[in-house]
Amino acid sequence: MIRAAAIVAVAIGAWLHPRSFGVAPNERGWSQAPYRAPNERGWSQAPYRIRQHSPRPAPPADPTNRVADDPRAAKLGQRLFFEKRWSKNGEISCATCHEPERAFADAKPLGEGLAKLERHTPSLLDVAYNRWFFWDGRADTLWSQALGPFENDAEMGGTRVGAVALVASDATLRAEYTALFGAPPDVGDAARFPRDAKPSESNAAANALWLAMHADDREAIDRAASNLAKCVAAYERRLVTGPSPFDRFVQGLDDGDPAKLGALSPSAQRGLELFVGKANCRLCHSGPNFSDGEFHSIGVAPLAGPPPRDSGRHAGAKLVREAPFNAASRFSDAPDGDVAQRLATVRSGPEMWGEFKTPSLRNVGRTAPYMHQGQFATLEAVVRFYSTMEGALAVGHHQETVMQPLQLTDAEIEDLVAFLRSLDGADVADELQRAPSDD
Amino acid sequence: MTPMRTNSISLSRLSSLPRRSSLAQRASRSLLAASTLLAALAAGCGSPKHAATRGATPDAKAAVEAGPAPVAPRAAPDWSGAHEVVGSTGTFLVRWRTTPDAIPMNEEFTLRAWVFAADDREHALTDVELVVDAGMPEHKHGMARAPKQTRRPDGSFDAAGMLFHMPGRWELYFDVVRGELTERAQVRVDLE
Ligand code: HEC
Ligand code: HEC
Repeated sequence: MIRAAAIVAVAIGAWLHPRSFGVAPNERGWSQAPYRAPNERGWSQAPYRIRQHSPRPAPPADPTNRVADDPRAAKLGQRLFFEKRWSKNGEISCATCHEPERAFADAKPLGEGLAKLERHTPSLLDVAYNRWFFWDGRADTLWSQALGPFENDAEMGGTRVGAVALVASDATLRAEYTALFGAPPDVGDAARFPRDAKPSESNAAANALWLAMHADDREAIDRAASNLAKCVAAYERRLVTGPSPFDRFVQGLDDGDPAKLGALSPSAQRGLELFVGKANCRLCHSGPNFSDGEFHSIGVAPLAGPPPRDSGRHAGAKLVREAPFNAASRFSDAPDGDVAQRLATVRSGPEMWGEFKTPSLRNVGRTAPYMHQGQFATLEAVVRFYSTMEGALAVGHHQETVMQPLQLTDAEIEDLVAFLRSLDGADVADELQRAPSDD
Repeated sequence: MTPMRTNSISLSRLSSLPRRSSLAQRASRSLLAASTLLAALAAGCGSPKHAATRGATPDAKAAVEAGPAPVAPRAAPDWSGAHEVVGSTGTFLVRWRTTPDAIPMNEEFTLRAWVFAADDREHALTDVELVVDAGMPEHKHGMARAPKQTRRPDGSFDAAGMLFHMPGRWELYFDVVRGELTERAQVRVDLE
């Protein structure tokens, strides 16, 4: 009798535990085992596809940034993130668009700095999980991404020389920088280091000043600027949310705790079933980050109406390979590492025209509006789009054909939205949501 | 076919493929087989289905890098236990294996392949070129990567940085080129 009970327990264990499928979860913590549709025995029989999404492990290491996990770098980076002095008009910081109280986004369709941008500001919550950065993936590391907005004339309009000059002249920034990297370059001579100098395609004056600088001076500035960017990334890496109701629900699948299983309403559970089943959202929104990290065209029309002008990954694939601060560059701390090797295999071609990065769906309930131009104001509008594909751009003959109208009922749309809302994680610590207080 | 198993893979380790699986790996594999049987009894088959199919239009774009001059293969064949597929016109046999053993979902893997004349399966050919590619015919897209393809000194070919980024039906394409002749061998891989 006891023996029989034990066998039953083992058998149930086999349903519930990924290890019992004989499949060791890998570093990312998820396992591969067969999926079957949930039946009358309940969720315990449908674990595999669900488990691919939870639990979520710690963010992957970033060997291209040797200070990625150094708390001193994160603190300096946090200062820089909230620093307005290094923008052209002294009024814009990263936090102007990536507002902590708005999930590190801005709740606007299009970003706005010194000018209006062409794309929507993404949330920086859990950004360290991403494989590529920007909607077109034109940055391959979190730190190299930071050098973009900061010099972009439509965003902050700063210059790398100006940033290094600021750090060199501010006692706190200088001390914190020196502790990590040694003294910043001596940029006191403003004729030799013009504050307005930067490489720029759109700003000829700044570009001319930059090119007139001695190559060694440019190199010293690039090195110091990449160090600053690595500190900003060290801070951004800490913007990791806590478990979401969905993660608690998956734990409930493991231990059968009804309280945890109750973390998802019946509607959200039906939404989950759709997500991994009939609606097949998992094709692209896969893994614990609910993103494959790659690029697809789902045909969302531009905000200003067709025809589309943004080539997305088509340009991004080329830009990332040529980026002066990419993972294979001399500023990378792992120029032969995994990310650099991945970069060498990036494919580009006409089929990538109009493709954008699959966004993570974690915290998606907090990050309206949606898509690369904030085209949809609500999650319901997003799911309705997937349901009817109304207004979708025709797919060119080169492009992938994954998207088909799902023809969902109103109740199914409601269920999917309820599930998406269950992906909001616990917020990051308060002290990460403002400039560090001086201690 | 090996049961599906996700292994983490480090791209930097890709160049040094293990020649044979370690004892521990083999032990865990038999454990795996046993428990997969349990899962399969309960769950239906979760193993990827690999089946050779024939014919398709070649459109592989990745080029094979010229490697060192090929030499005759060594006595102990590296390809033992590898998968096999015959080309569409029956001229060539391709043997292939991946690291990790089971193709992982959305993680890079390396594929190693050897080409044989279909009527001589003992001696890997050293006078052919091989281009490896893959795609999802149902979605009309290829891989998001152009794997780095090299010929190794023993005549085998490595394609590093392969990536199956979506679950579903994939096809692996092996285009064998010898002089004027190109023959495609094709394998179906279902990724869950
Ligand atoms: C003017 C508004 C604005 C400012 C200021 C700004 N950003 Fe952004 N940020 C954006 C927009 C818009 C995008 C998307 C642009 C694109 O994809 O082309 C973006 C993208 C990003 C991304 C990519 C996230 C991902 O997953 O792809 C990161 C990281 C980021 N910003 C960090 C920063 C940092 C660090 C700063 C300060 C140095 C900063 N941003 C300043 C608007 C802004
Ligand atoms: C073919 C791949 C693919 C499939 C399948 C897919 N998505 Fe997406 N999803 C994307 C891409 C790519 C974007 C961004 C598109 C853009 O900005 O133009 C996106 C955007 C989204 C967004 C907006 C997120 C944000 O932060 O802006 C939501 C929500 C979303 N998808 C939910 C779903 C749901 C629910 C399903 C299933 C019904 C689904 N997706 C199926 C690729 C996919």
